[in-house]
Amino acid sequence: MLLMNKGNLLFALSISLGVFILHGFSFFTIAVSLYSAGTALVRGNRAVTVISIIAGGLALLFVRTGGASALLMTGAVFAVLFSDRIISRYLFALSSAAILFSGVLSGIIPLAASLIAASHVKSDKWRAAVLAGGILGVLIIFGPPSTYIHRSAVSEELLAEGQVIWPAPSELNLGMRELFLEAPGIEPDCITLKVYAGGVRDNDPVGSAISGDRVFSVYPGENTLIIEEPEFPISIKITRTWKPFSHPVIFFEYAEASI
Amino acid sequence: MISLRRIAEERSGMLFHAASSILIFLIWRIAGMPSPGLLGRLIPLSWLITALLYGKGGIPKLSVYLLTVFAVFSLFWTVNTGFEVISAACALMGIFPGLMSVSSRRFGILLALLPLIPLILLLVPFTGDEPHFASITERLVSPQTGRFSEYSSQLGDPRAGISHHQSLYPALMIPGYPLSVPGMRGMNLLFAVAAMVLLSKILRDSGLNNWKQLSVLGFFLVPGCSILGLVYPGWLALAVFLSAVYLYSKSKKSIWVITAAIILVLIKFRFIGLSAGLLAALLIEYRGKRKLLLFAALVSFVAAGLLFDLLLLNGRIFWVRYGNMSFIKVVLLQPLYRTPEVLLAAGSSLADIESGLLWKAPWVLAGFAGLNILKNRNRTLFLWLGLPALFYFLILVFWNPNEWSGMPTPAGRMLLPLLPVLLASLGMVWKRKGVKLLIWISLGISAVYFTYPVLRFNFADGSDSLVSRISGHFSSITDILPSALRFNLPLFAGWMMFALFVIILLKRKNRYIQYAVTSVFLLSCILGGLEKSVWEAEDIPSEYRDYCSIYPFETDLESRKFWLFSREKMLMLGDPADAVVLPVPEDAGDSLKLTVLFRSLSEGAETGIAVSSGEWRDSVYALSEVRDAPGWVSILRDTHLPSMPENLREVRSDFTIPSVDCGESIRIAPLGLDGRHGRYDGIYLDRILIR
Repeated sequence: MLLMNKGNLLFALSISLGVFILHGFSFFTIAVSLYSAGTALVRGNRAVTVISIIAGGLALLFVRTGGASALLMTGAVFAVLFSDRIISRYLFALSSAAILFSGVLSGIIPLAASLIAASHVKSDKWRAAVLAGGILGVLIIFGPPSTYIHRSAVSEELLAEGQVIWPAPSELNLGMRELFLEAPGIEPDCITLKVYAGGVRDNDPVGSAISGDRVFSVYPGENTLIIEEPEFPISIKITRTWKPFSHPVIFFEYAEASI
Repeated sequence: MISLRRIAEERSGMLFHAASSILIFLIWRIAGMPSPGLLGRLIPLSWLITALLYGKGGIPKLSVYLLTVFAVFSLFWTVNTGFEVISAACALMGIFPGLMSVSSRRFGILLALLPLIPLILLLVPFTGDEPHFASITERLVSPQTGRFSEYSSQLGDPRAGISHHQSLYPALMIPGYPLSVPGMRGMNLLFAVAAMVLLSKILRDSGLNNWKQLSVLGFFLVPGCSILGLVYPGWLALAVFLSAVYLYSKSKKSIWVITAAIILVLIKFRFIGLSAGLLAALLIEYRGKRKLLLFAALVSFVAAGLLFDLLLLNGRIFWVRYGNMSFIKVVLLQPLYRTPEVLLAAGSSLADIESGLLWKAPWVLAGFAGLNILKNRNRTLFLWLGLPALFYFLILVFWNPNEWSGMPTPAGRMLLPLLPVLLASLGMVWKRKGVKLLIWISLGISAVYFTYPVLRFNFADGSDSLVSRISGHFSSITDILPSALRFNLPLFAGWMMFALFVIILLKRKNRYIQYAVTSVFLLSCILGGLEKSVWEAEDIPSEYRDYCSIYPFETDLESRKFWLFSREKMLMLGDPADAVVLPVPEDAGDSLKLTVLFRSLSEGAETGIAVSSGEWRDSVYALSEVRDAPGWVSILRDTHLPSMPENLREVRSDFTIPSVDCGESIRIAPLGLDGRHGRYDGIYLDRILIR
């Protein structure tokens, strides 16, 4: 059986080798190798192989962020659900275990466990049920998986006549929770920030703006924050955590500070 | 008695689409994905419309797969920037298999478009040339000030009072004007439907079995979807062009072709290539004396048209734009002196990351592979669809090699007239290995453009909006993708060769095609995931910059239009407080090699750059020389180039930093700018390489 896929396996092996050479030996590279071997052995609709390759390939593009692990997990869940060959399913399940041990993603234990459990199951429907249980388990116990890598954005600052301005609007959401305003080497007298917030079903603060020890709440709707003698960097962040049917968002429009 | 079980079996596809609509709506909200009020409703709505149209039929397997990918991937959307884009695209892409099946029914071409209409009308920003066309429509309806009056003039208008755009196309949008933007976009959707219905009839009459599916793909794939339903004249021109082909094939009366050729020029002068191609096809069809007579009649007709424009229309169609010596000189100069630029323009229509079809619509490779088969099997169709497309394309890249793409308007829109011939030839290789893969990859890209239409717009800055949004600032992927603006010959040629290789493999029915495509995809992803070592200065994100500004500040290509050497933007360090602070790579060896490419401009004290890292520091003072104008410019006029950043010769400075002295970051700051004299004084960074 394996010999029938020797071309695919050789292909997977060369990819794994390339990843080991370029990224070194780690749980992530082990996960990539297991994933590529699993993809080489997928049996079923051609689209299953193609989608697995695309997910795995894109994962290689996001090696330096948590994105790679997320894509491999997605591809593994998909392939375990739709691959008709048990060895291929095992390999995908093992790949998810390697991702779990790499520790990049938090809260994926139920999903990895359901993948291992589902890979034994012959019936498509039962496999789907076990995997759905895993996904629900993740949501109920931990909430959507997140990375330990802190992601934040820095707003572009410009020096103008007698002031520093941050002209570029940016949107904060649960995917990008924090925005920093910096004014390297300059201490302005006062800064004015214009931000909008929303996406929640109550009137409690959606986030906050932090300057040194001072914290200013950002409420749903329009907020104009004036901070005297600000300390940099100023952080604007979403303080809400994930909750179903809630989409917290802060829209930073601009800020200006007089020097 | 009606059996519910039988209904469920017969209409399982319909029920699946309806249930999926609810599922996507719920998943979107449970995952807390962005834009719940708009995208989170419009995508489920498109599934619901698909369900209503689906009728009897089974569940498309691919839709199940895509829905599963969406359901799982939406769990992870917060993990990486850009994942919400992929997630939303997967959700929308799931309707395409169903729509392809709907397309084979009665009125299928129209029905397959319906689920996408809400997305087109509500999501695509009303920008680019759209408001200008709308303002002309408005002026035709009412000379008083209206909602679009602020767009009544535009950069590039040949003369005050004479618009860059002509009035025929805006006049045809008058019926939609009372409904404002959705009304005018609705008119353009009608033009698109007309064009694709005509194409389907042409393809059907030519004996292609999958004529309906091919026509529907015309809506879904770039370049068709780029301006589908937008206020641009491309689809109208296509409808006119295809109506001429269809009517001539039915009646063999040349009047249809001649009328269409005139209308095309009146819609937009750019479509003169289509007119010329149609007339050339007509000439080829004619034999003996009739051919000579037709040729003579056409020449006289063109002369009469030019006279009519000059005497009665005050030259507003041709003379005001092109009736001058400079234009004639430019036309002559292109092939003699600017051949590389013209060739690059032609190549970039395929390979350039911002405007090339390889990246927006890889299905065109299958289209190119099928051209020869189309020529052999149906010469008439090849001639009537191919010749106008060829003439149009050649005139497009020849006319203005620097601006052929029309950026920053939606990528691919200028190549719309190539769509019919490419779809016809796609039909010839439809069943070959690898073709479906290319089509579905292209549909995936289109799904992104439908859900996040702002990613269709590129700004001629060397980076693609879609790639940047998904890969982020810190990916190396942009370094290995070809750009006409940041031209790198080996890279550009390499991707052109790859495209050619795929076309040859497809043409020869080679079974290794899928391995070839997969290998290149995976290799690109592996290289794109490596640590960034080449920084295009203007791409350096704000976290790695202290102040600084982009030169020129305008996003539009217009301000760089007349730059003679490179149209690449630069990062301006014009104040002593400006600096770039880049991270030191993790795998630095004994020493770090830093190369800075920049231009230095000063009317006062000597300027340069200071580089520091940890305890180590070094500096270089340099002043860039002004370059001589290219030879072809001096033929046009006696030109002495001013001392502006774009005309300066680049300075290359190499530094070696011992690893022991190296800190965690490298700082590059300008020197000698304390007593700044001239407005443009400063350091203009182009590229930084860290090895």
